[in-house]
Amino acid sequence: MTGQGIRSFEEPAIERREILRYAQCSGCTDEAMLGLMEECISECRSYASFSYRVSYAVLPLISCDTVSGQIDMRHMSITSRDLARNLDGCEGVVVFAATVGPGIDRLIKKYTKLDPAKALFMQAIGAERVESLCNSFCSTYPEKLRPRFSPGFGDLPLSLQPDVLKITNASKNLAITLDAGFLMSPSKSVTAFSGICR
Amino acid sequence: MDFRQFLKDNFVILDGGMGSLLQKRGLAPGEKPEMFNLRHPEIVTDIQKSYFDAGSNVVNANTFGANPMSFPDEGQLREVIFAAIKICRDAARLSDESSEESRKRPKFVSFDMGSLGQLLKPYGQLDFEDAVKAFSVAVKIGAEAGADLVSIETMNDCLETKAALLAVKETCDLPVIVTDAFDATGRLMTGASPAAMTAMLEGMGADAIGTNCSLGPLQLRGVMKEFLSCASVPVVFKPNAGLPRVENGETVFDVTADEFAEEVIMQMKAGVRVVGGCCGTTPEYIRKVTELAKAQDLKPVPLTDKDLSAVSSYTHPVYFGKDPILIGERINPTGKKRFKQALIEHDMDYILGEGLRQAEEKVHILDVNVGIPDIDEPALLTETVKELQAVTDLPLQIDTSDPAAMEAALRAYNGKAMINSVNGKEEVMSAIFPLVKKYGGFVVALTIDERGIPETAHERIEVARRIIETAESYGIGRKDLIFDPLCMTISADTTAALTTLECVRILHDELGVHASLGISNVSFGLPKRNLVTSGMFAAALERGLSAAIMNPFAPEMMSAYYSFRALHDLDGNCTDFIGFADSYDEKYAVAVPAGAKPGSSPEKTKDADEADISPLAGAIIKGLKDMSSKITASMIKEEGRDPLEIVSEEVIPALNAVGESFEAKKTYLPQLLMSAEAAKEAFVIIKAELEKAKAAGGGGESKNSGCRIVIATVKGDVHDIGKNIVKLLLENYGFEVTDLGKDVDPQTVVDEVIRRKADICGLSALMTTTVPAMEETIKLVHEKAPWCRVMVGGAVLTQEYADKIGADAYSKDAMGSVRYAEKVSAEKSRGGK
Repeated sequence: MTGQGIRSFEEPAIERREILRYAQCSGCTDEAMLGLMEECISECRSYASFSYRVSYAVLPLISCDTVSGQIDMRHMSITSRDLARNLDGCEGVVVFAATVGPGIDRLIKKYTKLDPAKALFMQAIGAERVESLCNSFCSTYPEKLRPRFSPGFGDLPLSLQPDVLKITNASKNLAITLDAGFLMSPSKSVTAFSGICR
Repeated sequence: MDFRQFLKDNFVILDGGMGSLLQKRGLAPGEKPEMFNLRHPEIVTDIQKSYFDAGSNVVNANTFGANPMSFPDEGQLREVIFAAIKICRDAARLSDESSEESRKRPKFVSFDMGSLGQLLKPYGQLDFEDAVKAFSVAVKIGAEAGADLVSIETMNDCLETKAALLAVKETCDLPVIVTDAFDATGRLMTGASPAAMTAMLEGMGADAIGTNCSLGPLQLRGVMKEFLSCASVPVVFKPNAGLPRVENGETVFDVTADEFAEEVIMQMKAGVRVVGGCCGTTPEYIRKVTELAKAQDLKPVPLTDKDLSAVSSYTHPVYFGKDPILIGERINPTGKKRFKQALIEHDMDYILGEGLRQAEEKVHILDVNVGIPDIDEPALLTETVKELQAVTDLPLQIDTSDPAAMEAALRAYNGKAMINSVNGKEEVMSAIFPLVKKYGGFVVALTIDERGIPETAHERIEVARRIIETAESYGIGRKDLIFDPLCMTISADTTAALTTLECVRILHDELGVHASLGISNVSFGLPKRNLVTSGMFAAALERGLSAAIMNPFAPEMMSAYYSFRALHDLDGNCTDFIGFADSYDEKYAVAVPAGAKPGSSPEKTKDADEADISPLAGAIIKGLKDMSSKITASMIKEEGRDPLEIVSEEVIPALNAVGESFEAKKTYLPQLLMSAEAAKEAFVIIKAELEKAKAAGGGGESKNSGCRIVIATVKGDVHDIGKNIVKLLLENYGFEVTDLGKDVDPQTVVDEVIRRKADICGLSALMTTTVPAMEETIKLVHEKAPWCRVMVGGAVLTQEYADKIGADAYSKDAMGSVRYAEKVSAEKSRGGK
């Protein structure tokens, strides 16, 4: 069980509650705020040129030791007890990188100069978009997938990012790149592991 | 045979996928394919021979990722590239030897260059010049190793594509094929359309351009249509065999060789000249294409010059023609005191603001001029260009008389720039035209020469003719020239406008070239200048003017523009004109009536418990920027209120009300930000008033103005939204804030703290990984600037954590930082520390 692929998605449905949460506005009912959010959503639709793409690899789970944290996926070996616990009992692993593209980063940068409240909503929309994309991708799997687990969670280090991008071919397929601190550009990108169960 | 010669008269068949075939023969996911050149040259030779056998004229050497980013050891990089070229050459020879038919087919070995795998600034961290250097190292080795041409492939970003092409042009004379990866929306990941890429790449002298990878042939129909409609050079089509997906643990593609070939043949009939396959395609796919082309006896569609006059940004082109182009003139210090000051103080936000405001007025291009005495113009112009391109996708007109500054800015510019300017002086033409040839560009040519500005239209046209001839000798066609016959003021010579207008007519009608004018000059020295400037604009448009450098904030100018378009059938259903007219009253109306009282403005809240709130406080609380600015102006001018009293009695109480409401979780963060922005607008007016008073010998300072704060996001961290919010609020409360930005070195922070003798240093970090850098910065500040208090904040921090790393204070949010700063300021004014 090994292979690499790319998937493109139609625009996932927008989760406004999530946007409000990311903008630190959970439960907000103020009409002006909600109006501002809608304005930002429609501006994103016109100018962020979101493209919803996932580049992924499916790897076999050869061994997974929850005590030592040793995980062997044939083409990739990792030591992480938290991830091992997450993958325990699975027969394979989907490793993926998802991005909605860099257009939103430009909007964020623009509004950081022009209108900080809109910049905040743009950030929130970007975060919601990429999470919704991950949901769309995971829900297409015929098998049951475990909750996704990303570098940076628990004891799974961010320094794993270069390997994740390599194995998923995400640098070539999606042009996701890393800076010295292993942060991704475009910023609204996610990498994750998800166990495949029967 | 020379590849350029072959390309001129023939279809060129490229190769197909490599990575997927190598994987079938043992390449593990994540392994570098280029290492196979050293470990398994026989496998690579075998695959490449099979492409030559199948009909390929060009096969890419296995060097897609062979660059200094992947192979930091240059010795190994050389080894890999030399081996790759030799393997490909061997494959061609073996194919020649294998059949008579193959021997007749011209074969070329291409040095293949893919992305460096790091995104360039402003999206990523890689500097443009570093990218050029990396590509140069690789292509130099490729040329030395004996490649016949270079293929720049699978680029996702306009600027990286430019870096790669520039590296080739600066390193060797090999022909270059450039293909980018367009997605389902028909754009590159960073936003460029095929037309935008065409403008830039043709300008820089690419030999063939087009698309590869990303999608199957069917999904790329739209992209190919756009390329064929605007490209004058041969167009390249190298799609995937559809998209890869994992099926039963195997990577499979969904387009068969037959389907692929049919679609490719259709594109060849439509005008595509260079074809091949990318991911998932095999020699079988290439064979089907060549067989089908032969069976149908396809002949290449002749190339035509599309004769487009274009500039471009990293997203779209702007074409010059019948529809007039507006070039915003406001990024220019001439006659603007505030702008000059911004340049001296390096106030980039102000400069960007001028650009963004013009963009809101729907200009098509922004002129960028930062020339003042005693500045490093090449550096400042380049920085301004980069910063503007980070926030706006409008093409830029680079405006400088310093050739060094022009070259620096043209290198950094992402797209095909408009160049302002060249003129008839030999010295200027010999400095500027080589830059146009190298970087591409659409050039404004002033009809001046060594003798100055000719008096008559006839003489100016003579200069224009000479410029056209000289440009041709550099290989620059008239489609890349736009003439500015110079607009002089009628207050000095009342025939000046007539001469200029006659020039525009001749340029358009007789020479068939484009004309542009810096329109505002015509009214210099006259009252109500826009009234006559707009008249000149309309008259020049009537005579065929293609573009104007103008002030988009002047309603008269915009009215001339929208009217002209509506009157000349350039505005279907008069839609744009109606939009302009509909917003006219609201937009250009003067401030709210003097002495606006509570309840008198439509935006005023009707809530009973807010009835006592003054209009200004109301505007700030509601976050209404324009209202806040207008009311403040009217309070000062009409009511004669003291500016400082407005701050203490209106602005600060309003901010406090919002701040308290935020702390009580009744107001949300975006609302707090909007209020802060509205207050900032009021401060702009108040500050201007205080400066006036200061100049007149009076005036005072607000209570926190003596308290200096230096803030930064620490080294290694690029998250700055929180820090920006803190800065905004602190400024609102009158603190003097210096913002060092993000990813700031500890030493830089300390140097600034010492230079400003700052009372407070604010540090922000979002990630646990950058907290050590914060700790280091705190130590250094405490050691070198013991008077300064360090306040920290950011998502990962807590009071406990802040204590542990030695911070003097922790703020859980932006209001917290204001409260702490007020405390420090109060202690300071009491004389204590």
